Amino acid sequence: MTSITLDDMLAVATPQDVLEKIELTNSPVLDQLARSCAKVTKRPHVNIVLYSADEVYTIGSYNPVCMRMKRTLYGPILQKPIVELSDFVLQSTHSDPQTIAQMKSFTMATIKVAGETVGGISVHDYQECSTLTESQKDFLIQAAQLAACVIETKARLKTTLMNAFSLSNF
Amino acid sequence: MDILELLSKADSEDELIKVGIEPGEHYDNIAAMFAHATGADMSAIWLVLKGEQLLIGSHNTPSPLPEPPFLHRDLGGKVLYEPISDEKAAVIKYPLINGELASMRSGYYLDITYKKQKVGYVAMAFETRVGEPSPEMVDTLFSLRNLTISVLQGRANARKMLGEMQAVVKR
Repeated sequence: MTSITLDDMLAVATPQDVLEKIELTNSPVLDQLARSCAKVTKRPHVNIVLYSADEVYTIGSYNPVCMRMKRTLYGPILQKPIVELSDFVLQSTHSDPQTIAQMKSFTMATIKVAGETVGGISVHDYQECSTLTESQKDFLIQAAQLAACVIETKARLKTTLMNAFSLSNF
Repeated sequence: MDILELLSKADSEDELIKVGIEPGEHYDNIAAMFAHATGADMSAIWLVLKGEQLLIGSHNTPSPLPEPPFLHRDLGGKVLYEPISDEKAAVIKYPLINGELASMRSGYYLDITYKKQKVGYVAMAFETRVGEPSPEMVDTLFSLRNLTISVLQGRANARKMLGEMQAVVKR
């Protein structure tokens, strides 16, 4: 009987597809990370999300914004380490005006696994507020890197567990 | 005695030594978050297990770091602000990631706990005397400390589980 590692899966499919297949669930560590992001950026709402090909699902949050289930962000915008509300105006063809119209403040640090953007940490406010300082943006980028580490570790553990369950039936 | 009672009697430091917590990217990221949140010039996360110090994460400073003078002090679960005199700062120089040596003139320190027992601390160092942290900053630091503890707990649990599985495979 053979077992399959996360690296085996990443060799034949995109990180996004692999994470979707593994079905990661909510994480208390990522909730705690979201709480810290809210405190440092002074934004009331924080979502930590993963993208599948056409959906968005939340895996950590603090006072979360109700995200549309359908994914609306595509393309080069997701290659940036930080995405802001102004990027949506520049990239309006890739955005959903209905969703962002209500938001007065939005900044997202992209989460990358195996070099590909798989999600993001976004901080939101429905009120007008000052833009994030460079320190706050650096904090958010580090938080996204930590989220990537946590997501990868969880994915490896879940793959190992899936192997163990399949082996337990030998 | 049930298994939970048995586990609660285990010494936290022994447990972390047995589990084998190692330095890693997780802790470097957290150290960087502490630095960005406070404006510190460098930061480090240490475990102190049975008198042995282990630097598990750092930001803007290479490993190994010189041992700070406050290592074994009981911080009582609070954020400790420590100004460092010019004389002391002139003697203790910290290496930065760019190879320069810097004199730090103040620091913030927090305990890290594992199962409610102190197992290490986080240190943030500043080249100036920044003063006592505001209540808002203390709140932020506690939030980041809870995050550090959650990550430590999560990684310890993962290593325990993998250890158990390896034991099964060896049988």
